[in-house]
Amino acid sequence: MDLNDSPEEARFRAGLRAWLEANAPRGAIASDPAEQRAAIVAWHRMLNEAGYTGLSWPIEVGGKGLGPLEEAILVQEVERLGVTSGLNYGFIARAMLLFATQEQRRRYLPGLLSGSEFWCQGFSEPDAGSDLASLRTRATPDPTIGETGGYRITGQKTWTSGAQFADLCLCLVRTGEIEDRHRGISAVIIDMRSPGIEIRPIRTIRGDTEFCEVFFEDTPVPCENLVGQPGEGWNYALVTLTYERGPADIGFVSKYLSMVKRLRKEAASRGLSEDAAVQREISRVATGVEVLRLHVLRSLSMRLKQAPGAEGSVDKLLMARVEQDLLHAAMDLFGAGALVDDQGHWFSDYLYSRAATIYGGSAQIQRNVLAERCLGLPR
Amino acid sequence: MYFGFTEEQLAFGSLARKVATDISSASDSEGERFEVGSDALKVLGETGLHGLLIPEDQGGSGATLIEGAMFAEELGRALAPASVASSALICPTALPLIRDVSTRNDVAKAIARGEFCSVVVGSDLTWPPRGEGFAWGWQPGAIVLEADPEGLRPTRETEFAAILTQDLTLRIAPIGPLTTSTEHLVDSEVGKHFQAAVNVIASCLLLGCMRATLELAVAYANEREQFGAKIGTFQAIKHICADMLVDVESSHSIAYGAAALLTHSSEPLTAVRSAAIAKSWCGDAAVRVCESAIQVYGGIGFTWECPVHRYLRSALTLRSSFMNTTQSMDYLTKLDQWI
Repeated sequence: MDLNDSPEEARFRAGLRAWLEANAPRGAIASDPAEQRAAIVAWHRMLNEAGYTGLSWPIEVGGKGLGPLEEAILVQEVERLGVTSGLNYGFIARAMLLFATQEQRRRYLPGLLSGSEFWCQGFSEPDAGSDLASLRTRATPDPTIGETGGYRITGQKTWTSGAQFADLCLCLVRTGEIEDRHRGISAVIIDMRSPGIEIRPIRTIRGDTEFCEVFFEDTPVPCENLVGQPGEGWNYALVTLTYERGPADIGFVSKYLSMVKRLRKEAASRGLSEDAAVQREISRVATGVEVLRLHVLRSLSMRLKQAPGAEGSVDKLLMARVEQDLLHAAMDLFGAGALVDDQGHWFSDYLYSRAATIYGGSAQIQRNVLAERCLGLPR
Repeated sequence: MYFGFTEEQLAFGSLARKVATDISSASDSEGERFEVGSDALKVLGETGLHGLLIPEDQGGSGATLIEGAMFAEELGRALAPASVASSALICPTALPLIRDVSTRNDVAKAIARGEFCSVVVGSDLTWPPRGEGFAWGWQPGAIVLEADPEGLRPTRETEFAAILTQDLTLRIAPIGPLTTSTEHLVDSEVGKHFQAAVNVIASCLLLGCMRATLELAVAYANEREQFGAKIGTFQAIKHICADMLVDVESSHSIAYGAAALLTHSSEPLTAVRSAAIAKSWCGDAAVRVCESAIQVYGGIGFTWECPVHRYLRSALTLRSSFMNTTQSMDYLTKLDQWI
């Protein structure tokens, strides 16, 4: 047990830090969503050209063959400079690496890595949220599609982040019967320029449009876009959701650390920092961030020995607890200041923190997972 | 970087669990375990764990604080007498505060031989002591490390009228008003290191408390039936247990993370900070976990017979001991270290 960088990790970190200091974009992040997105894409492409994408992917698909710790170092160093991270692509790739054919990997992974193609993920539906296995978006076989036949997709997806910008959608569809539950689900790649697709952005409680509803009506998908075997979609979804955790969590830690710093600065500017109760409260929320940091490092370290499993729900619940605690503290400390003259954008961050116990599997579902799969309580 | 146990450490962990359990059952006198009985002394002597943190040239095994933390977790889990953690783990890390080298070596050798040792705290159980002094985890015959203007000084009075605490494993002995100021005990580098090491050890004792309590609650939820089903099938019970697991696993990460940083890190301030964070986090988490376990048990959890209240008592006294939660917050503010 040693939390210091190994000599290889230290070398990697030093090289990366030097490159970042010379190349990372500086200055304020654009508030316009389209500009913001363009900046992220440009930055992602720079990272890719410098060889800092796909760190933990196998070399034969364009990766660097490194491990989860190098991914974590990348996120840490990028966030250390306060720069936005590149596109989030890891979770789509991980399941592709496990389930996709050689041809599919060759076709899709380079675009995913370079950021030349954007992906969205079509999992949730209006009537299939926590109960994802009841999804109804139907894939009907149609031999007239493509050269070897395919499917026609009809149904509705929701909470699809970035659908309005996406070229491709990794979509869970029903190829079997509703009664088959998770056994009748398949994963397909849908070209978002196909006919029969309508995208309606959803306005969130923050007023922005981070995600969308996506409607499919007889949308054609050729057979070769099926990922894995028909009926294997559920396994695919589980792997994807498991890998949504991990290196990305390190990014959250950095984000929370900068929030704590911002909290202290703003408390000082509002003349609150001599108050012992205020100081204790800020120290208290900072402790949560350090606990989360060490917990995530431990989880990543465990991935060197075994694939991640149900215990990742601890990370998710802890992360949500830390984030909501931090933003509660901010709202309490600044009182009406966060509602009337919100220079620090605390209100927007506070609202966003309410999603932490909902997205990627609600806190209730995470607790069920822990109770049944980690603690062995009966179903 | 590797945040996991080595094969040797895992083997040590199983040994530590066996020793801690044996000491506990051999010391049990109608559920009260203030004192290590003669049978338990034999167990300790045979394994040499008393000298775990004492350097090899002084008769100990020269292990790191990571092994110390593992032993603490097992002692906490087994509800072993606090005098064992005090002698085998806490006092050895306090030895650098004894200025005179030959005195220091004598105490080290005595601990490695299996003698008991206890360090002074204040009447509120915290360190550095203020006002009246009390020997934490005292048992008859123990060497007491008292504060003096130079640092710590061993004494061997045995005539204390020991006070029992609400913790059924902890006894403290009043050693009278302090005759010296004690700020110098925490301002020096060795003082800071001792404070951090005690925070880690107490955090791991708390972690052991939590793990045992969670296992008890889960076992009960798997057995007790109401409405024709095991109560563990109900989400109301599942979610309490899941939240307990989050507390336990996050406490493991911060407690061992701090132990590893204190053992290997080139940045002492980060390590000292993490140790203070561990103490406050594990203290609050352990009390929460014990209270939740009582809730899962229902009426049985409110009986003396149900073991959970013993853990709750330990969790509460350990949370207050050495550095309590409010003190941790003030310490962190003063440290002004935000990674």
